[in-house]
Amino acid sequence: MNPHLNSVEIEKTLERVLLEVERPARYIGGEYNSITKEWTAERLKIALCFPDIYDLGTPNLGLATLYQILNRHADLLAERVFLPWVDMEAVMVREGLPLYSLESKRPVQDFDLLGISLPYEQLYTNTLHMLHLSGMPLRTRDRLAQHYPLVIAGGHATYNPEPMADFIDAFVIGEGEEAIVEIARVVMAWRSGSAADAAAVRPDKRALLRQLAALDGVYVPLFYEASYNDDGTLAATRSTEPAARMPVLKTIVKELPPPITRFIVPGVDVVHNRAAIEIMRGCTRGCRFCHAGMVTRPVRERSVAEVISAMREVLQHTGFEEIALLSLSSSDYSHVLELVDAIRENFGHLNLNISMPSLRIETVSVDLMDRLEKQGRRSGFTLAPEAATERMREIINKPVSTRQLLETAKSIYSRGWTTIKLYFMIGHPDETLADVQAIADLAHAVMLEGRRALGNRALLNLGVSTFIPKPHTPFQWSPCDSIAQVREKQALLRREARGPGIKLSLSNPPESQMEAWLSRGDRRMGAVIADAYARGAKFDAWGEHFKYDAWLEAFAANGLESTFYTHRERDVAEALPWDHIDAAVKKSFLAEDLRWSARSQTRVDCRDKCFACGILPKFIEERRATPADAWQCPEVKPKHLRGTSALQSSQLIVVA
Amino acid sequence: MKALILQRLRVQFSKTGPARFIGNLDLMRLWERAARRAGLALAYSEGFHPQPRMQLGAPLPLGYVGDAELLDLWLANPTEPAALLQTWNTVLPLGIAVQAVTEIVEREAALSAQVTSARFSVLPNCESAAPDLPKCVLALLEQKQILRINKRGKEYDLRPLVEELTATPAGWLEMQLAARPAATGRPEEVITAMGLDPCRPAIHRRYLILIDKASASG
Repeated sequence: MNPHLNSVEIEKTLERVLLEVERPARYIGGEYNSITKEWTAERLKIALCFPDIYDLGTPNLGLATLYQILNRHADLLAERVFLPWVDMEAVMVREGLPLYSLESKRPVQDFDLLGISLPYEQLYTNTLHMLHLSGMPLRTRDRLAQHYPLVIAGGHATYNPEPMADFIDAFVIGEGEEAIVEIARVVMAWRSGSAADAAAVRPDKRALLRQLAALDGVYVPLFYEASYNDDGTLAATRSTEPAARMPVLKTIVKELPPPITRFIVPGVDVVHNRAAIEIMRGCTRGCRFCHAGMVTRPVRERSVAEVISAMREVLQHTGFEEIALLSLSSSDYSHVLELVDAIRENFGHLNLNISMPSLRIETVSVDLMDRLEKQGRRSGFTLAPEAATERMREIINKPVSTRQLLETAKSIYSRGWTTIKLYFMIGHPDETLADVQAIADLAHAVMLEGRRALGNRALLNLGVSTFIPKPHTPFQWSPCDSIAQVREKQALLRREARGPGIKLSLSNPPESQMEAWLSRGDRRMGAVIADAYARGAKFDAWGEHFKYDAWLEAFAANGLESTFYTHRERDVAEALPWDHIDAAVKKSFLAEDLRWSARSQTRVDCRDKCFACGILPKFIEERRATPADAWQCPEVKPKHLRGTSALQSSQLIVVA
Repeated sequence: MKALILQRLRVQFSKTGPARFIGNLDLMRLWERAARRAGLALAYSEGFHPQPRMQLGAPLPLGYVGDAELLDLWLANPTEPAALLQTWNTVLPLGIAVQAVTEIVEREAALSAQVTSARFSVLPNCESAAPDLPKCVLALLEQKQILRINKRGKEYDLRPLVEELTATPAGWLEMQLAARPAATGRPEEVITAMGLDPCRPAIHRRYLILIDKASASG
C-alpha cells in the first residue's frame, strides 16, 4: 500500500473496482451538501473520522456538526473518512489503496489532523484499524515524527480516555464545537513555525502537544504516568510535564450554538435517514445509571423559535422527510408543549416524520406524540422504565409508579399505536431474581392493556439490555454482573417473558463484558486492545464480527484479568483510572449519591432543588456570563449585584 | 372526494459521476428530497403510507451512465414547466442534471409501459487484446437463437432482444435492446454472448424509446 497515493490514482482505481462491492455509493462521496474545497498548501486539512462504516457515521450529529463548523473557516478544510465494510476492505488491500477521504479522495496521511469520533467503546479496535488502513503506526510514541498527522479524539467514551491513551495524541474532553477550532489554530501555527525550522532540526510533535495540553479540555496522555499497587489497583496518575493539567476539566460551550442545518444528504439508505436537531443538552433527572446525564451537565436549551427556524432551514437545505428532535429527556424541555404546537402549525401539512425520543412515562407524553406524529400508520411508542419494581427504580433514581406505567400503556394502545417498545436493564446494583421476574410480570401486564384495547393486534417489543456501571456516575464503583449471573437472569426472562405478541430481545453477555472492561479500564488496557486487534478483533459492535476469544487471549497474553475490571466492587477510596479527568460533577457528590441509592433515597429533578453536583463552582465564570434562563442551574449573579437577604438568594434558583 | 387537479410532468435527466452508484429506490427518494428542497409540492398517494407519485421510465442498473433518463412526476401545485428546469438544477446533487421538463397528459399510460427499447453505447474494456468488434457483431447477428440464463435462473433467448448492434471505428458498441417488462436486454449479456469476456465495460444508456415515436426523447 502506498500511504501517499495521489487522488487521481485513487479515483481511477475506484472507478474500476466499485461495482465489485455492496452499496458502492458509500465510497464515492459527492452527496448533496458535501463540501469539497480546493486542496491548497495554506489550508489546514482535517480528516473527520468515524471508526465504522458510512451507514453509521453519516447520521452522527457530532461529526456532522464539526464538519460544518470547520468548513465555515476559509483557511480550514474538513473531509470525512469512514471504515470500508469487509468486502471493500478486501478490494482496497488487493489494489493497494490506503484509507481515503470521501471528498478529495486523498489518503488519510495527507491530512494535518485526524479528528476521531468515539461515542462508544465498541469502536476502539476499529480506531486502530483506521490507523492501520492509513498506513500509520498505531501508537502515539511511534508517530511523534512531524510528518504524521496529529490524531485527536473526542466523544462520550473519552470521558475515560485511559484505554485508548497509547493511541490518541490528544483527547478533547467535553464539547467540541469551540475546542476543535482552537486546536486547529494551534496546529496551524505550529505547522508554519515548524516548516521554518525544518531545515535545522527535524522537530517532533512534542512541542505541539505541549501547546495543546494548555488548552481547556485537552488531555495529552503522553504527559501523564500511571502507577499501580501490588494488588493491581491504580496507585495514582500523575502529570510529567508542567503543561499537563491536573485534573483536566471538560470544556463546554456556554450556550448552544445555532444548530447546523446543511446536513449531508446520503444517496443511499443509512441507519437514520434524517436530520437531527438537538433541542436540549444535559438532563436534570439524575438517573444514577446514566452516563450522558452526568457528563453533559449543565442543562442548556434552545428556544422554540430557534428550533422552528432550524427545522425550516433543514427542509430547505436537505429535503429530509424526517427530523429528529434530540435530547436526553424531551419531556423535560421547558417549552415542549409550545414546540409541539409550533411544529404542527408550521409543518403539519408537509408529510414529515418528526421524532422526539425519551419521553417520560406519563399520559401527557401520549398526548404530545399524538399531536406530533402524522396521522396514519404509527410505528412503535417507546417507554424506558429501565427497572420493573418500584424498589429498583428508587435505587436507580428513576421513580415512576407501576400504576402510572400501565395507565400510559393503556393510553398508547387505545390511541392508535399497536406496538409498545419497553426498555429495561438487568444488572442494576442490588438486583435480585425477583426484580427480574417483575420485568416479565410487567410485560404481561402491559400486554393485557394492549389486549383490552386492541385484541390480538397489540404487540410488545421488550428490550432488556445489561447494565454497565460507567465512569463519572454514582455507580462507577459498582461491580457488573458476571456472565453466569447475566445468563441466569436472561434464562428467567426467556422462560417468563414470553407469550403471543411479545418479542423479547436480549444483549449478548460476552459483548456486554467487553463494553464493561473497555469503559472501566485503565491504561494497561491499551496493550489488550492492540493485542485483540492483532488477533482479528474489529467491528466489535457488529454481533457477527465480535471475537470474544481474541479478547480473552489478549487479556491472558498481557497478564491481566478481565474480571478485575468488570466484577470487582471498587472501594470509594480507590484511585480510579479516570480521576484526573474532571467531568465537573464532583466525586464526593457521586459517592453521596451512591449512599443515597443504597438507602433507596431518590433525588427530585434538580431544577426543583439544586443538589450542588459541582457544575456551578467549576463553571462559575461561564454561568455569570450567561442569561438567567440559559442554564437550568441556579443563576450566579456578578458579585456586585448579589443581594444579601435569604429571600433574594432563593429566587436565584430557577424553577422551570 | 376532493377533486385535485394534478400536473403530470416528464423530466429528462442525466445520471453520471457519483450518482451512477445510486440505486433506483434511492433515486426515487433523491427526487422526493430535491422536490422538498425546491419547495415543490409533489402529489402523494392515499393510504397509510403515502408515497410521492413518481414513475421512472426504466430502472438503470448500478454503475451505468444515464445520458437521458426519464421520470414522470405529479405536482399538487401546477407550475410552469420551463421554470422548473432551473429550479431542479439548483437542488440536485452532483451527477444528476435535468435537461428538459415537459407537461404530459395526465391520463397517459404509465411511463414504464410506454418504453419499448433502450439505446446503449458500450465501451467493452476487455482484458485481452483489442478484439475484432465488427466480426464479433456480425457473428452475433447471424445467430437465430442465443440461449442465456437470467438472474432468476430461467433460460431465455437473448437474440430477439437485440434490435440493433453495430461497432464504431472508435471501438464502441452501439446497441438497441428491447426494454419491455418481461423482455429486457442487458448490454453485459450481449457482450458475453459476443465472447468478449472478461471485461469491465463502460455502459451509457443514451436514451429510452417510447411507443409513440413523436414523444420519444433523444
